[in-house]
Amino acid sequence: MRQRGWTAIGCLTLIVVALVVPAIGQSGTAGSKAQAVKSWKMPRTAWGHPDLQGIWNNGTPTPLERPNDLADREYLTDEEWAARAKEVATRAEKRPDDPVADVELAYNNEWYDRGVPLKRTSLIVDPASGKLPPLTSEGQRLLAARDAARRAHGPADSSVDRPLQERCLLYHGVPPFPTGYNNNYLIVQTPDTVAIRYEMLAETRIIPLDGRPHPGPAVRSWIGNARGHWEGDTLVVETTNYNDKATFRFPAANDTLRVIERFTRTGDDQIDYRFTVDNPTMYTRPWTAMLPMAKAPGPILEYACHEGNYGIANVLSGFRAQEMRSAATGNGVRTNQTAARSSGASAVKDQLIGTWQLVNIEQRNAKGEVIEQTSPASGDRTGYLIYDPAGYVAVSIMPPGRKKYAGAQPTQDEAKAAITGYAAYFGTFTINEGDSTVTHHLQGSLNPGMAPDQKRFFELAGNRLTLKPPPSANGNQSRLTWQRMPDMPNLTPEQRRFVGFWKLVSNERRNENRELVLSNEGQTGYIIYTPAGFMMVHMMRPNRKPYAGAQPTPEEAQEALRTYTNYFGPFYVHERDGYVVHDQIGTLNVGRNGPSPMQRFYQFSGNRLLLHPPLTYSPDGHTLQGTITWERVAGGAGTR
Amino acid sequence: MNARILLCAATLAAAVPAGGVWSGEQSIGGEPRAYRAPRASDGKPNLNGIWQAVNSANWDLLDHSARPGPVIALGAVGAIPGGLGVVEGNEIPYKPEAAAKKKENGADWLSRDPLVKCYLPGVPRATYLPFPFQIVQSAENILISYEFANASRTVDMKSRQQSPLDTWMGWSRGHWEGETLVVDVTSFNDRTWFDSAGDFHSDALHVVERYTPTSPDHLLYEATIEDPNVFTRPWKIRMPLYRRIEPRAELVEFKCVEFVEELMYGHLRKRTGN
Repeated sequence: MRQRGWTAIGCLTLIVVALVVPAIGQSGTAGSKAQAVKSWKMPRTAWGHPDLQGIWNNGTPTPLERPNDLADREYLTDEEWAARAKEVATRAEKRPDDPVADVELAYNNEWYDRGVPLKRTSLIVDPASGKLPPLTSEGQRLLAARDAARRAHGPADSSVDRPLQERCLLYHGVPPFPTGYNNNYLIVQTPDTVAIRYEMLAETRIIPLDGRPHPGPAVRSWIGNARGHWEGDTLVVETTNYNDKATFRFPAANDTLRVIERFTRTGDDQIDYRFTVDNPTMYTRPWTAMLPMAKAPGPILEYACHEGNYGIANVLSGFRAQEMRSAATGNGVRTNQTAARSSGASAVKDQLIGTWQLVNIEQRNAKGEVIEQTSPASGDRTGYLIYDPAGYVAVSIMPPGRKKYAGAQPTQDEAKAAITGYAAYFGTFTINEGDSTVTHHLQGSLNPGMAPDQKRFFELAGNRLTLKPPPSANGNQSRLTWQRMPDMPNLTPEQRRFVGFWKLVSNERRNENRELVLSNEGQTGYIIYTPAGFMMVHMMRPNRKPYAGAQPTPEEAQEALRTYTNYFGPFYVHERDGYVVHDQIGTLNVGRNGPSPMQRFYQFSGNRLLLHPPLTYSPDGHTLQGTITWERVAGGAGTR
Repeated sequence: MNARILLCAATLAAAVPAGGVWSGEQSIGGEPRAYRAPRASDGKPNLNGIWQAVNSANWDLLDHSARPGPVIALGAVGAIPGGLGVVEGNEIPYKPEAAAKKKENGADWLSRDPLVKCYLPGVPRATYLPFPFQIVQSAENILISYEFANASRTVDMKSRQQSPLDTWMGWSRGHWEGETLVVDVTSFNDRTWFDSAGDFHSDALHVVERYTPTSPDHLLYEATIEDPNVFTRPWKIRMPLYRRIEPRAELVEFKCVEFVEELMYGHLRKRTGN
């Protein structure tokens, strides 16, 4: 009951705040606002300072940087803002028809702190573009060096490879930037100190007001060292002495980072908060953002992050298990099933069926001499090849050293880099035992101009398969050697239900009112699950055009990448909770974060498989539920 | 170590009768102490400042001798100092089965002591860690921020709200009794310890703390500990807290999570060169 009471108060506050906050977004200075609200008088402490005390929340769905589609607009219109604010404020009450989505939303509503949209289109007020200023060349160099250092490790070689949030080291940071939850802060004041206790990770910032200098450069910390003073009715806090390990959000804290925050109480329920990031090493100029704080119901609760952190151990042990499995494959360990398959007098097709991992690539000249040899172990391409009893084939070959995008979407150059050396296609296959060839009949390929029939000479030896495309004009011929991945020794019945090729039927997104937001009309593709515990997905948009030349132009690369989805990795079925994890080890579209595990809630319905990604939130504040429907291909059911 | 603290400690020690637990009452002499602390703006004693215990209670609340540390390489630096106990009567009244568990805990403390893993220290242990803490006091809330592990808690001086959940640092509600800040702490989980000697509690723990200024730079800290699942009766600890009087004194971040990752997750590190 008590909890409910809080929630009710919280909702009321949210609505009240929603009506007040846009004033902050609109007006130029704190002073003019204070005048606008005539009846309001600045609350003061007994010693005369403006009283900032209490619990405040700075959650907002308004983005730091202005979205491109609002490029020339600093503010939403009244109508746009009202619609957005209402939608966000009432979102928790909307119940999707789909029971899976309903349960997910109910769960998420419990912790989700959506905040209030500002009337502004970006939190950044300076530069006027609403975008971060460009990085300096030194800043670019530092970020590139850090990325390179990062790439020297796997995603989970040790705990230090995991994100700072996951390690319970830093979340909202300084300046305190809102996230999806726990955007709550308690401010306590004395004549010579202001303390801000964060709910998230329980950081406490203690800000002396006595004019003492910052400590020397040897004293560094994750949240920096803060010093405050009053300028009129505004609390100004300068934070320096950051360590250089805070690697997320505002790139690279370092010894030149200085953050100046300004807190001005502008009403019973609001603090005008803005901060300036001054880091001449990283940015070509300082930049400033505003982030109003709204009075919030309490209390601040304990967020014991590290104490309950099972995530790190689970992620690391998952990666180690995966490596052990790969190592087992590499050493030629085979299960009984696999041995039986390859030793029997079965047809070639039976021997081809399975999941194959690329071992090496050789180039031989016309005399048969090896002129080049590479392997994933020596830093060359990673590849997987799947043949299915129903006659389907799918291939993904990925080059090493792939770079993440700087932004959410790849630039043309990033797109070009992402597809260079990457091969992905799907279709059916036929075998000609007479000349020992297998021909892949392509239904789709990353390269839209790839010839529809790809003939390969094959050699089978135990659990090794070598595929050779026809020699090139100079007589050189490449040989791709693959090794069979063993079946999972203990496939559960639920895992077995997934095994096979599934053809894409539809790929939709609907909002919380079940209205169709995105239909992906004409998209084709397959999702494949294999008894080796491996999965791969290929999805392709319609009407793709072949490249004009032998190599794609950057524009063509961007288009090819935009219209094709491919990723692959182990899959794990969480039967009790009704979801499957696609544990990407490679992906065509590396995005900003690189390959990462994808959670998909699943439902089987007849010969169909429905996959639901977790809910997402559109920039205009809607809750979006995706449903990807797949249909099992004929003859591909079950395991062998 | 700062000379002024040592001096303060020496002065206080001089006031302690030989062989006794340091006692506020003894120096008070049974009468309300003459010392009246400076006032905060609401007229209450002003406890603002950075404070620290100077004792070895974090190793063992009871009398104990010095002994070698568990890490040979640390030699004298890692040895455990002896100390005179801070428990009234130098006895913790365990129930028999709980006494056995304490003994087991103590024998295996390196792997069991939650502090080793940088877990939140709980109350009262947070008070007598070898780290300072800062009090930021207002009429509504008294914020206590501990240097160790970023631990913090808010002592609510006005609201009677109940905690909706069990916590590591407890749920603190305070009031003033004359010169004394009294904090009633409940809603603990059963995961924290009182010291590295294995002294423990259940989730029925109830702590009543008393912070009484005894000079401009000293607080008397007392805590009554009650847990019917573990102890046969309430028991009490008592110690002075010293103000960190260096002009530049401030809490310096000690996010020990980073320092225990290898200890906790090192066995899951990818092995190279295989």
